[in-house]
Amino acid sequence: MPRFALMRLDKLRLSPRLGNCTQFHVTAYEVERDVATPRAAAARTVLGTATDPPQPRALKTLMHFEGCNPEVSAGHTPAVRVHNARPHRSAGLASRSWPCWPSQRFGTILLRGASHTELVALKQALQFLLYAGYAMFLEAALARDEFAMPAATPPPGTARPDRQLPALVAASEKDPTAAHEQVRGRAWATRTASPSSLCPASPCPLLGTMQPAWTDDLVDRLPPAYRRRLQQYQRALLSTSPSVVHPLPVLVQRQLVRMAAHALSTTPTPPAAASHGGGDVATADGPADRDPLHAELTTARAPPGPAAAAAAGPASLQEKPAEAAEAEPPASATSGVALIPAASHPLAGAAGAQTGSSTDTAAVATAAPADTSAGAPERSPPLPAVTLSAPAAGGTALGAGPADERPASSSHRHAASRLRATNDMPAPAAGPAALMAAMAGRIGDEHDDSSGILSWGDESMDLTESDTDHTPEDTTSTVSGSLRASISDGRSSSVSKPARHVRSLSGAKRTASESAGASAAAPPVAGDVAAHRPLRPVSLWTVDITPPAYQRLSILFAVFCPGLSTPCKFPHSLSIQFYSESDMTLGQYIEELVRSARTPCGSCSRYDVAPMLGICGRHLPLRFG
Amino acid sequence: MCAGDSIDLRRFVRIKKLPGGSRADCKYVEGVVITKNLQHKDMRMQIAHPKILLLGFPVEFQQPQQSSLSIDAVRGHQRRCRGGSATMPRPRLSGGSLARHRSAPQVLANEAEQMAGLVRRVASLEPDLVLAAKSVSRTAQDALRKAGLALALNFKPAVLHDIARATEGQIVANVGTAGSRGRTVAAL
Repeated sequence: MPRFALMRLDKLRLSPRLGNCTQFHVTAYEVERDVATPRAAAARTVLGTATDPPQPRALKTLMHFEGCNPEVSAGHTPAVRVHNARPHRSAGLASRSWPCWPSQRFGTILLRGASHTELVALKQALQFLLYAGYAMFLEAALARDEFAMPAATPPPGTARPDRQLPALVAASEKDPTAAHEQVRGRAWATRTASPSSLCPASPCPLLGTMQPAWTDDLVDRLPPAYRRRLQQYQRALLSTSPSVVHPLPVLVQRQLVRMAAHALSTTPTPPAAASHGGGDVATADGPADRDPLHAELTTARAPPGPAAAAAAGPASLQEKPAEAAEAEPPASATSGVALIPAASHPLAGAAGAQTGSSTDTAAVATAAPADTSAGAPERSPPLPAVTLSAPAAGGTALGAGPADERPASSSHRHAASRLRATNDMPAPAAGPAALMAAMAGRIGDEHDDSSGILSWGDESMDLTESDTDHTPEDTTSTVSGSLRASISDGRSSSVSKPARHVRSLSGAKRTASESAGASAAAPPVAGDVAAHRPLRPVSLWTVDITPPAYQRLSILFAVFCPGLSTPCKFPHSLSIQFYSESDMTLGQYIEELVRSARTPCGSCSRYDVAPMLGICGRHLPLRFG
Repeated sequence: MCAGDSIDLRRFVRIKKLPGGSRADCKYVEGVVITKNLQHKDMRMQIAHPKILLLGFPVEFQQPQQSSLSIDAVRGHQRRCRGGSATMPRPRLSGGSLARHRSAPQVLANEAEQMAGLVRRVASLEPDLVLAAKSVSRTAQDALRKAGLALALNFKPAVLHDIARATEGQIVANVGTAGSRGRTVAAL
């Protein structure tokens, strides 16, 4: 009996499951031995046959296990492979019209017909294609399972005009390449803006589009070394998904900016070039000479509307120069006023910049355009690449440090969302105070906005006299945006920094040249000014590396009302920006939830108990597989 | 693809480069292709519907844990083999442990016996093909060849796992333990 029991136990022991396949065979392939392969060369060297002619051909023995997916190849599903025969979730209805990824366990691709070197490249490409293709398949499957509809996609440029590349338009008339640049800019925007992440029709604040921090235009102006480095990332495909967009790594951006700023500072400054239309003063004083690149950037930036430093002499405080008169906006900003509003209030600045400041009547309002325009003043002949045919005559900001270069630029450069995020605190606080100070002739406004974008420093300002033949300059906001912002020469502002006092001299108009160059200008003595001072990078934080610029999350969003078979709001992909206005504290969220608990659903007009963000229904979490 | 698989498809698709030939020779194989040869020419190069046994452990003679092989015994065996021409001084051994030492012929006999048992055990599973992740002792190789099994050695673990996945076999992790551990690991 004991023996019998032992035998039974022995029988009960699980025997390992043996693998099986349809066909096993060992085949020798005749392969070309690549002479250039280091491995082969090393082998020959080791063997002491380096001098011998390499054997052109060799045999490579491969072991094949074929037919490992019998249910695919033979069309039947073995009962054993339960775990492999997982039916697709929506297998009944929807999957017919959609491609289904074959449920294979393994596959091998044999590449032949080329040299080893070529096959290596081919293998890499093939692997990536596999990866990308399967990822897209998964994404499509997810969207299909959720009955997601592709969102109506406007051309990427239209979704957020302010975030796109308005700048490129400017140069178009004069420069033949402008159109091309614009096209390229569009292409970039198309590439970066995900088609499915946009849902412009919806007022949902979650939506946002991608703004490339670096455009082709900017890249073209970078020194070759940096250009190569940047292009390395531009060539890299960081996401194969149409709805997931990765901007450049923040550190790369920062590094690039640092390098670029350094390059600018070390570049020999050309003799101060008188701006074409520029007043004599400008030339005389030696317009703040910037290196060409920088100057170009600054000029490019100036918004069309504002007559750049319109105020002609000190006396001309209130008077408009003729040129200025031509320009719609009353460029003659009163001294004090000019700085504050734009600086303090990004939105105002943005508005002014976009409207060309024509609409601004209030002194405060005008300030914004004036500030931005002020960037124009110091300008040297643009680089060839720059398309400014008629460089806005730089009224030279003599010593003028545009104290508030940043805000204005940020205002029209950056997306509204970011502005919203950043401006809250600074605007109210700084605005009035700054105004008062300005009136007093001195502004000491210290200002850090939360994101560190806005920086004020003390700076005494001299009067700038600028005579401008004002050309509508492009606001190449995005182009020069980050770069220029980053380069402020002065010792002035690092982010968190020292308030800069702007004392407006009599009749001095403070030109807020957002151009960095002007920004940090030393307490200007008119004339001697910053003329030959090299640019130095001031603040890296002025670059657009704030979280909203690079953090985003794509979700699939749908609204289902209980009791209804069809979703009230069909799933579509949303892109959520972090740290934007959509953020709320938990308390706020709960409060909102409770308050809007009886809000009727927008589409089915039923009441739901769990609205979120004003939209009725429950949010579908992401479901994979 | 199965539930629980990695989302990265590249793990499950091998790409083999074979320089030369023509481009028409490129093909896709539903299965695994690896660079490996069989251990012996006599083994079958083509098997239709093979049953594949995957051995994850070295098929070597394992000394029983309790007893160690005496240097004395080995040297004695060597001496006998060489006709007693040993010149090295005989090492001193503590007398107490001598009782547990085995002589070399005894060890060899044990190995042969153990290998034979292992091969018998393997053969009882009736595989056509045995793939071993590690080495296989010569005795076992010969025994397997005589049993008509094809054998290939020294598979990388990753490759063995690929084959296990493709052929839905289990990798046998050890010899003696009963029961199976997990889906792809089993005991012989």
